[in-house]
Amino acid sequence: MNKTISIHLQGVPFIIEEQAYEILRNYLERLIFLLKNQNGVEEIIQDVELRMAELFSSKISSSKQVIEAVDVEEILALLGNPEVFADYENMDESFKRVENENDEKENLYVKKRLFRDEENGILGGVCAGFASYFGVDIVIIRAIYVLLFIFGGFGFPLYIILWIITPRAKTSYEKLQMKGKPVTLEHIKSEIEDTAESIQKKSKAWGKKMREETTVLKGIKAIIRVISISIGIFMILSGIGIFIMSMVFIFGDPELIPAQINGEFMSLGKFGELVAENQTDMSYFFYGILFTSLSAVGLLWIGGIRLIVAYGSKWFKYVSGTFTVVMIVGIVLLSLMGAKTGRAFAVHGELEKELFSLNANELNLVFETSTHVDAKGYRTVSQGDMGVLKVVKNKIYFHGVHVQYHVSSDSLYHVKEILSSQGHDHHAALKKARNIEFKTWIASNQLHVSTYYKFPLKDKIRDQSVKLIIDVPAGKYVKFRDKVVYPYYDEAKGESDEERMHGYVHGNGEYETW
Amino acid sequence: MNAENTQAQMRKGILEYCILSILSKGEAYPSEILEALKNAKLLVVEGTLYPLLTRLKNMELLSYHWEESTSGPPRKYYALTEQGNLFLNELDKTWTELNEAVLSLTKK
Repeated sequence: MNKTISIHLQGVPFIIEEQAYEILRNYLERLIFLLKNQNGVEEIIQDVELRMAELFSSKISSSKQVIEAVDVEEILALLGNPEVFADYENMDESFKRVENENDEKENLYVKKRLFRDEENGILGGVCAGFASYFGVDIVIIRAIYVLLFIFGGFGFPLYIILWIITPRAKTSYEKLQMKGKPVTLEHIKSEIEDTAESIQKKSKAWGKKMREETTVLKGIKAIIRVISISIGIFMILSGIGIFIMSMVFIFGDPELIPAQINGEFMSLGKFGELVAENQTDMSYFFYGILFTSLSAVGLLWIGGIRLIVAYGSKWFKYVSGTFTVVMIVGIVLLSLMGAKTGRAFAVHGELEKELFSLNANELNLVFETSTHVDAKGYRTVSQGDMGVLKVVKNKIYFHGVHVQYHVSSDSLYHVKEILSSQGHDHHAALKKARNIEFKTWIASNQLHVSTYYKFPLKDKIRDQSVKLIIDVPAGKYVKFRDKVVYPYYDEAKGESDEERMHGYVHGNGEYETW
Repeated sequence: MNAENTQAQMRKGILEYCILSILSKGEAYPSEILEALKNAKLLVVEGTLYPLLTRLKNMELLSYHWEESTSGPPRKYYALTEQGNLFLNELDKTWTELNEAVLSLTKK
């Protein structure tokens, strides 16, 4: 049994025996060392590695998949000593240099250059490259970067520009330049060991890919990466938005619900109380909303982070799995609440009451928008409550009254009111209908109609509504603000239209017919 | 005197010329060039070739392009540039002259 190491040569992956790897590494180290000041060293190394890949490939068959030491020795013999690589014109010089290496220490230091360090980077390795260049911890560079992004706003375009203009450290030689380490055997050794370690992790998956990847493909990938990061950032930001909104919605008193309770805007929780049949349903509603919105936020954040780091781990799976479960629980709670509440709306109950009979030539409608008249006789016309409902002192106030006209069977006006409500059974529906308080009264030929009606808070909102039925004697009228509203006179046809027999009194006292 | 060293020097001197000659027959990737050189017994170890190729490329006598290979890594196909052709013509003349010179001197 022998230990093997995964390597790649110009993107072609190989499994190689540890001993063979040592030989190969020493050879390449020596080669880089000898050629380090030569023009085009990277290309020479690239050519050599390509040739090695070709020769290694020929050594591999279905029955032999590991490169052994003997293979490497054979191939290296074919290539010749690293010394033969020294271009013959520079031969003397390069030998001199080797001899003088102890005297000229600065000669051994590679001139530092800025490269992108994709091995240690998240995105394009720009931050990691800077970290190497300045010799500081990558976290510091990233932190500065994130601050630039948040407060300056130019962090993102800056990154893209740096990504484009900074070359990627591809070869071992460039990686040394990036770190600015002296090219000593010791350092190349550690460098190659680092590389081998990271390659070991990546090469299997990447080796094949890298080989097929053209520059265009890489460009497209980078663009996709930028897009996915943008989407990730957007997801995180909208997650924050939803989080704040749901917090305000659930616990705060936003003006989002067009409803007021004792003069204040209503929170979602309080709104739920108006509908939910009992405390259990109420908590279903509350926790349902809470779980659903928070897990949505969590999933957005996790998804966003996942897109940005482009690095999968079990952790993501666990957390997003948990959020999904929480969301399902939330949805189940909301469905339960919905089903139970729906059940409470099952039966319709309707009560009818004859209110007035009036002998008059015409009937005038007067709408009472507010019942409150203060000590000085002022009636409140508007108090800023634009909403459809409000709650005052354990009563729920709704506005809007339906009116329906019929032809009277005699010579009198007849006014009836119909109160209706839903309930989980007939008895409950009728009881809730009976609890509706609605005011109309007759003064001479005026029918005063309150635009509001109210019912006890404990009845809950069960589609309580109020309708007035007005029987109009033949040939007589109903007027609103001195204008005939029934029978409707169609000016185009020049005749009255008795089919147009519906009216609706709005909360603000406006009236429409159809 | 070390004959080996002189032999190596002589081989290296004409190696450049031979590489350009091989490529004048059509583009080739390093392994094909190596094959040709080995068959002609001009090359002992492959390592000598690579610095030369890079140097010739840097002198803009050669250019290369990548081609996918069905077996193994992608191949770097080298070809003569126009400048390389002119350069080779010069070398051809020199070689002919040298050859004649050597023949006339060594003929007994």
